[in-house]
Amino acid sequence: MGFEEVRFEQDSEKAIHNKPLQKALVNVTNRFRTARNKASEDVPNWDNLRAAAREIKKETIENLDKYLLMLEERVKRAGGKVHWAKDAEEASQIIVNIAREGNVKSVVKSKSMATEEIELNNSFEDAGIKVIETDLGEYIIQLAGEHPSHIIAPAIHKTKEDISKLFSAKLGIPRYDKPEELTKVAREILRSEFLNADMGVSGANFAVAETGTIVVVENEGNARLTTTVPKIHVALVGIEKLIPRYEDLSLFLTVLARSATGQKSSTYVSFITGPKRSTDIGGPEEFHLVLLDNGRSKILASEETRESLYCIRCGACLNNCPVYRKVGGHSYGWVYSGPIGAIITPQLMGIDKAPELPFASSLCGACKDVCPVKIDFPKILLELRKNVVESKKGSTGIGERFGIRLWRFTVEHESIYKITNKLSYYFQLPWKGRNGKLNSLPYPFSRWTDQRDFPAVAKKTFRERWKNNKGETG
Amino acid sequence: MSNNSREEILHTIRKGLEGVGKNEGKVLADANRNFHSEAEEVHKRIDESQSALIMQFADELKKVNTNVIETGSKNEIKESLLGLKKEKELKSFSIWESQFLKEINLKQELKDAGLKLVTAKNKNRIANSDIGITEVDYAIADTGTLVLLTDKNQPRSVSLLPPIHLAIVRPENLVRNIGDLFVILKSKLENIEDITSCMTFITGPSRTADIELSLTLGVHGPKELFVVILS
Amino acid sequence: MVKVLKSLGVEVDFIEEQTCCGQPAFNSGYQDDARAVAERFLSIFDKALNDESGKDAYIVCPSGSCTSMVKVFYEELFKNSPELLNKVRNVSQKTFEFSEFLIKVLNTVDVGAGYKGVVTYHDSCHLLRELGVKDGPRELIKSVKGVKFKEMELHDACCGFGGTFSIKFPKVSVSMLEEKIECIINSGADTLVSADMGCLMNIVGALSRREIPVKVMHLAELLASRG
Repeated sequence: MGFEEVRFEQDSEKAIHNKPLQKALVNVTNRFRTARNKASEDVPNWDNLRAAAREIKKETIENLDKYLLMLEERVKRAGGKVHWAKDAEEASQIIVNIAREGNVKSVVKSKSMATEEIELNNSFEDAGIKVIETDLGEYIIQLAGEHPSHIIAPAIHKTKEDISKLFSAKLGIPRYDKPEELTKVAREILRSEFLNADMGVSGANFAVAETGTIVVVENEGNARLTTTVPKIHVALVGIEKLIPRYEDLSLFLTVLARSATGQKSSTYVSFITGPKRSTDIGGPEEFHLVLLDNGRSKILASEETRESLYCIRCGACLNNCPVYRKVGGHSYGWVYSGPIGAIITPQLMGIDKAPELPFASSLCGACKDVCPVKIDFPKILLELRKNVVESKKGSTGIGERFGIRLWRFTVEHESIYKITNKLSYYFQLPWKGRNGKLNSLPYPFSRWTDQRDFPAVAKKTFRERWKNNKGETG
Repeated sequence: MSNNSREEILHTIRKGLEGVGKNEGKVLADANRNFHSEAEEVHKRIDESQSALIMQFADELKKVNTNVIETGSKNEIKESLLGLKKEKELKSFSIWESQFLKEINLKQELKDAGLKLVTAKNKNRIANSDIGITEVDYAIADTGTLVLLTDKNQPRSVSLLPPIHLAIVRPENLVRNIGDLFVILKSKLENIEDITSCMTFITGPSRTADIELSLTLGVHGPKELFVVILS
Repeated sequence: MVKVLKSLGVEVDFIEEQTCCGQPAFNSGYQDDARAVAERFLSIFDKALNDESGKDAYIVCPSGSCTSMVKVFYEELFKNSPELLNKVRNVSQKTFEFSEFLIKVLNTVDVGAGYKGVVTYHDSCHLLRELGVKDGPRELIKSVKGVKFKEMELHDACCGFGGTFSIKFPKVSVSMLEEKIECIINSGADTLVSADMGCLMNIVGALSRREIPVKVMHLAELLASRG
């Protein structure tokens, strides 16, 4: 599924009317939110950990060139190969070439947002190479031909029944209803794929510059299989995933699992440095690290939004976002959703492709409160809104611009402001309803009154009351 | 071409960071940390609280659906394995050739008991063996995590491909938390080149909640995890 | 608000020239327009503070969002105007949201109010997260004679107002609002109190359209009650 234009207003409306989706969203966000809250309360100095994690990310991003070179050198020393991809197309090309050179017929993949970002599966398919998603949630949406709807639980928008029907239709098996049965089917099918695959593609949660180690965090075991069994392992890693030192991992692993699912630790963490050693039994013979830019270096150049790159993809912002919990992941139009999607999609794809997204937030700040690296989402959203207005695209049509000019003129001139206040009592009369409120207003304010009343302007303004008896209610 | 992209990317990054006050001294400088002396401190603390750590570790293991077998002697290890063989009707096993396991001659004992040994060299065969037996390099008490390092005697596949994984933990493996672990690892890492090709943290059996958030064990990794604690 | 402050012995003045702090434009991405309006605000209030320089003068505002605009976002808005930063600091240091003023400056929790009802409180986003005000309003509410306080579920979840957000994405906004209304009803309260006009307009807009008989009032109105 390719990247399409973001159509937030349209897609969010569909999502709001989708009852099963609404139920699933409430479920998943409540569950993860409660679990995260408990897991963070169990750690006495949680806020200090977040501050420390932010500092390390800041240090990394502000010295990214040095750390990337260090990482490259260490990976090579360990026997791995390093490739640099400036954009999605190049990254896909590099990976397909590695497959061609290795005579690869089939590829197994573990969960990686970056590989969805570059639409890697399409490139494999175009090259006639079989590719299978092995993370259960990703396997489900691969069968369904959809994008993930949540960073941690990609198929959460699907019910048991959906999945049962899907498996039956696509895999030619009877209808199974229990999650255990469906999981067993997936395990068996995918197990033989793992054993026969020539190449495994993974992402990485972290890349340690000091040691040349990539770190993959998971619960299912498919990433371990992907990175152990096939003879070639390719890891696609966004350049922002770096951290400087081996011991920094203890901090990041502590905050990642707790923020994502509320677990003290995910089931498996693999720390991979290069291919197998000559004395190892089993393990990949080739290790390729593909470093992905695809717009990240541009974000880095913007001082106000640079911290967007600190993200460790835990999904806590999604689980705490009151907007996400109503509209779900697909409304954000791309692989990244929720608050993190709202800030990086416009920056990676270009503000002209997603001008709605910076405005698709009430700026409540719940995300900022839970982000393990303390990304200041509201600040970045405000900066992006400014950029949208300056680029004259999207929701800022001539009408809005005129409205702002009018507003500004009114509030810069007290006399106009007072008159407007006074006159609006009379102007509002046609729209005043029986309950004394404004039940309908002309466009664009009809967008308010379609479902809400608007308070009527009082006959006596506060200024008049102030003059009469110093503002006290009379 | 990848080389051009490398230069382009580095150039864009450097340009983007112009004017950023770079903490030159901070790049990779926790060189102020002395991991050897920190590791000594850590070991001292661990020794002081060892029995409490064992208890905490066992508790945490149970919280993550791990079966805990507490044994008081090396003989009991073999006994518990034979018990398991009966209970689960195990026919074959794969095993690490690591120091402690060799010391207690577990491989031979199990062969003598009628279990077929499967080599880790063949991935299909090991996937079809009934149980994979390992020890651990470290065990993290506050999360119930096993830490396994890969080397010539410790193949990755033994703890991964068979449907049951059994790990033997001894008191000297225990550390209090992940911070301890990395201090110790760092203190032992004289040459970066000597780092293992793969270190694995294991906390419980394989799981997922991808289908309607209902917890299911045994997705791709082992469905069952047994930890034998030698106390 | 004036009534409550006066009853506590505060001398209250209203500067007639004031109009707006500039937040609507700022939040909509029109930072230049916001800056112009904010500059006007700064001059007016900086002058007012200077005119009262002998006394303990403060600027009190019955809205968390406007207050946070002045106290938090003005610094950002004027970061490239060093000549104005003095005014920004002077004004923002002396600006307080109403409940914060009562508790932090007047050290008062019981203002002698009386109101019979079951009250629940909605934490408005800017007040809670930008200004860190959470317990104060609750203490003030609980001190009102006759009030039974009930905490509702998701009391700190956004009501969906978000300024122009409520008009740009009205369906999403109303969907969030409906979640809030449900929580209000489930709490069993007959009165909803909050400290931000935006939230109050939004919540009362839905309650009145759906004819739900929950009373809605600003914290100041509750504290001015003598019933």
